[in-house]
Amino acid sequence: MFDTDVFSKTSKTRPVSDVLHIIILLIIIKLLKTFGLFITYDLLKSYHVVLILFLATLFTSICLLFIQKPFSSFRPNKILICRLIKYTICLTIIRLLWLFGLTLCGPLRTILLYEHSDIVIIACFQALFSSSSIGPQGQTSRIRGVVFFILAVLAIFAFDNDDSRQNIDHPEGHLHHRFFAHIFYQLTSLIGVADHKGGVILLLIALFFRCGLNSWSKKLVIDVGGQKKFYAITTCLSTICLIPMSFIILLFNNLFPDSIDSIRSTFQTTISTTITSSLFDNISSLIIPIILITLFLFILDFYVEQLAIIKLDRIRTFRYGTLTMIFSSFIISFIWVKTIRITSNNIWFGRMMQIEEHELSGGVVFAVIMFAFATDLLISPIKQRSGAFIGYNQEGVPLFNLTHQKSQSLLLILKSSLRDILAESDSRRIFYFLCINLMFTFVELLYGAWTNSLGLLSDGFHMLFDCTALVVGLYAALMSRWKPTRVFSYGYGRVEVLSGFVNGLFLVVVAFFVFYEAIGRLFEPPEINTNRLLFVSVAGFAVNMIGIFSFSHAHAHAHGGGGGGSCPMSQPTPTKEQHHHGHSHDHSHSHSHGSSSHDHEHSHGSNEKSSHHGHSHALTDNANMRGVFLHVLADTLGSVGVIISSLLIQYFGWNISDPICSLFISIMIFLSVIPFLKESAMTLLLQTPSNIQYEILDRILKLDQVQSYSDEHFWNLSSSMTVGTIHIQIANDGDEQRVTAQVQTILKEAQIQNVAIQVEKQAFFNHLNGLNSALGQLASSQRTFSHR
Amino acid sequence: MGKSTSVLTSIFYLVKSSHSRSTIIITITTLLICITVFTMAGQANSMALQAYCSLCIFDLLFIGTALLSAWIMENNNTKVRQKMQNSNNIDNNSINNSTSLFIPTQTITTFSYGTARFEVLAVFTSTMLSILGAFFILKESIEKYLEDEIIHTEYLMLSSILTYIIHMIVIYFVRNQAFDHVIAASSSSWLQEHVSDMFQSVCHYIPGLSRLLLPRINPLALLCWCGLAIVFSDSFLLKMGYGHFVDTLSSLLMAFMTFGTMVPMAIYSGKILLQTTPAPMIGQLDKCLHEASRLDGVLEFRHEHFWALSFGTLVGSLHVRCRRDADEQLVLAHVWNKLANVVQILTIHVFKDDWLRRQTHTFMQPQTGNPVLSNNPSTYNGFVVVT
Repeated sequence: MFDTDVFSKTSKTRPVSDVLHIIILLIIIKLLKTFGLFITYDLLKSYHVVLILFLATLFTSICLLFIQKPFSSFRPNKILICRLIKYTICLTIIRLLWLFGLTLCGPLRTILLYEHSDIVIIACFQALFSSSSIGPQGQTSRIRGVVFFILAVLAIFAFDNDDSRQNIDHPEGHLHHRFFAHIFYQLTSLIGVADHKGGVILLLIALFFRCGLNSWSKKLVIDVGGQKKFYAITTCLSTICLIPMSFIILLFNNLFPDSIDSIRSTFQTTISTTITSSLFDNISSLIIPIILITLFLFILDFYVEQLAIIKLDRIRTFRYGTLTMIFSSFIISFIWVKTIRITSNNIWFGRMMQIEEHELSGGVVFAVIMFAFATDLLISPIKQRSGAFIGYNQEGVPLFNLTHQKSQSLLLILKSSLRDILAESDSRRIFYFLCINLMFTFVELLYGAWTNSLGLLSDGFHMLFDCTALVVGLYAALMSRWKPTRVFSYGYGRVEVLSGFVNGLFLVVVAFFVFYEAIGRLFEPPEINTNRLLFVSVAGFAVNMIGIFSFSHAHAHAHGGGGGGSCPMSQPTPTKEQHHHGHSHDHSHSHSHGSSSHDHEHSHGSNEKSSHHGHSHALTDNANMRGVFLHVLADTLGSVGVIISSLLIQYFGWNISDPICSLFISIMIFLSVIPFLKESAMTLLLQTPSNIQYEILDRILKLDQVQSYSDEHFWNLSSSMTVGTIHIQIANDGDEQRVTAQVQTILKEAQIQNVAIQVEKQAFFNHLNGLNSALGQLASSQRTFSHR
Repeated sequence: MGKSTSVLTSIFYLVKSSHSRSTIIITITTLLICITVFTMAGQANSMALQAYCSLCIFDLLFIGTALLSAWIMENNNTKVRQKMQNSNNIDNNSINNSTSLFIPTQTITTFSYGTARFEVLAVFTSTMLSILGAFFILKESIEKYLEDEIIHTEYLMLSSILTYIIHMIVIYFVRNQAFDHVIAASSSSWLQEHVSDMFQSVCHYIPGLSRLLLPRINPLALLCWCGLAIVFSDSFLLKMGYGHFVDTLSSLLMAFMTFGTMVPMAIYSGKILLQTTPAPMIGQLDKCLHEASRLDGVLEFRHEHFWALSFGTLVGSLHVRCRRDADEQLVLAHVWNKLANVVQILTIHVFKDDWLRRQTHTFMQPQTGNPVLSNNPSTYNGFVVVT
């Protein structure tokens, strides 16, 4: 008896030709195991799960006691025994789940779902939950494997219509294990899935549970002294575990004779009179398959797998084993179904077979392929690279990143980000409104799910969708406060403008889709149930009004504060008010006037212009907040539209008012977002702000010794900051520092904070000519000197 | 208003010129197909088809970007021509009166860096719109799943094939510099990565295919292929009677694929819009700055701002603190010489510490009583600043 260590890596790379016999042995054993599972399935149709498992483990433990003699050199202490018992109970439960799943799903699906090695499952979880540690190349294939795995499970779960079983209205009546089954069926009917789907869930639970148990028991295996000994002991213990259960089951079967036993016995007595002795038949039909099961499933499989793990390596063993089982089970089930169809008439419980059979379907075939791919991808070892290559340092030595990504605890991150959010008024406001919105959404969703109302549910999803705009705004508001880095040399202030732009685009998309839907409904207005619609829309309107008031207040505040200094425009608040008022006014009459949208546009245009004339600095106070505000405004418009249309439908029965309302709303959203979009786009395009007047440049020109300027670039970095660069040509006897300081002062007065001034003389160009440098970009400034 | 009319005239110019006639034809066909396909999708009531047909709208945006970049090219060419003419004129004029030079043209243009950045914004807008559209479709498909309506499968094949054809035509026959650059420069999407990984393992078994499969695939074409496959399998499964769950699932898959394809491009163009240093340039810039900092007279660099103006154009501004006795023009020239090869539009601000002390010492400054200019900006050097 050689002690086996599961983790032995001594024979990692052995050529295939050396270990070919082992591989063949493994494949044969796996084939036999598949066969055994099919036998078990047939057996389970007529006997109880616990009984079968008990008998099988009993035989197994008898065999193992003879082969292994586990208790001969076993010195147990109390703790070890306690752990062993715990393990055994878990193992027994898993096996019961597995066999129960087998009765529900049939052997093919059981093999597909359950016969995965632990490596595959662990790799799945690794790929899903720890993304940073593995190199990018291995990661993609792993992720693909996980996706295939999930697809396969999904295919079995959803696309595998076991139609033959659906038409039985009370399937547990035919099954043997009445009590458990009844509870299980009640559970599954509570969740609302078919029973074979329930079996899929059971098998998956058993699979994950097994993986967890196996990784938990690694130390226990070593403590006991080897895998084989451990296996023998736990099997014996499991047999002991199962004794009381099987007695109870037998008792139950005798107490309630309405189970399948009686049906079968009536069959035997009435139909199969040709069989001489029912008792003898019973024993032979029970004992021989159970011995086969014991051999195939519990003994041979285990020993050969242990052997293969030593001779081959773990990965190869599991790969060949799983693939063999998947494909062989596929083929065998194909044959099995055929043969049973042929023989179903002359077998004595053939009628039942016909009902119970799990047929092949497209979903299963798809799942077989997907599982094969997934196993192959997940089990293949990742090319281990210790540390990621970053680049070269200045001496040309390659640099590697050996440290893994520092992972903070989730709680800490949440805490710090919450503190950041609450630190400033903008983000705080967005955050509070987001909380209100989310709360409303969840109440709506819960209520919708409770009352089973589709309108509420879809409105809830819509709200959730809208919340993403708020989340974008919140994140941008947070991000804009980050410190400048090497890459973001101007800081993150521009993120606000960009997020405002994205929010604007978001609204454009929303407007487009609303328009599209409204056009579709205009031709065939659907019947709308206005029962709860009015209440929900009024509630949504109230929530959005809170947002509008809080955000518009923020606007007014920012206007007043941001003006500062020489800002002559001190009445932005009324314009805002007017702007808002214009909206609501417009809206309330939108269904009667056709031209109101025009009106609206006009008011907007004038608004825009007046603000531009006055002080464009204050107008773009915070693009992010404006974007969020517009979004909330659009939502409010939407709920107002719903209120109006539902009122119209309720009192006048005009079903067409709904699409017309949404048409108007979409147009209004679009028109209100256009100026904002244009403005933020101009900021992104580095438009020269309109408050940079010629006068400033004139003043620069009038400075002493300044001859000309060129390459003047001024742009708004964000709402509050203007950046400028300029080249200035001065006379040869001028003093650079003096001119620089003067120009800097002039530009500072024009509220340009971040200035770079390049002062050039004739000497500069002479030097550059001497250095043979490229003068292409200096053409305009050089001209000043070249024509003197 | 004037700008928009000029845009209109340039669009008319594009229509008239022969080289863009094919583009115009493609645009019109795309528009028509877009409308028909969307009506079909509305009729079919299938979210997967709608998700796939949103590629058509992306095509329109793509063509718009292409037109914009063509317009920018044209604009630049005319500008260069004008500049040439201007300089010729100036040459002629300068002989006559050189004083005209000293009245610089008072053109503070609205876009001082030119229109090259329009392209970036166009790419960002079109990718972002399709991302948001995909997001919307995600939400819609969940809602549709709840509503549980009947899907008509007869439109599925026809409209998806139409979309496929028009998308392929647009991608391969419309010249689009901006998108070409972004596709080449942005990091590959997850779809590309997985497909290339799969192809690599295929080529592992069949080496002959390596020429065909290994080069990087255009992500937009890949999106189209995968979408077509998804819609086909969707219609197949729907005909098999698997219910509308299939449709929801495939529309979700489509939306995620659109996400995956568009997000790297949006990130790339968005980073340019945020005025960041492009990652591949950092190494080169560091080398140049390192060399420049070793020059004679240079003490340190401050406020280094290097950012991409558009695809492949780098703008930079830099403050150089130099020694008090250094010749500023020489330092400027040397630093310029080091950086100008990498940075296309460069501004170098040379400054010295305490230069006023030396100034007051040497010149004595009779006119201005107050040498500390920054404290009192209203009057200095005899020049009165009007506030």
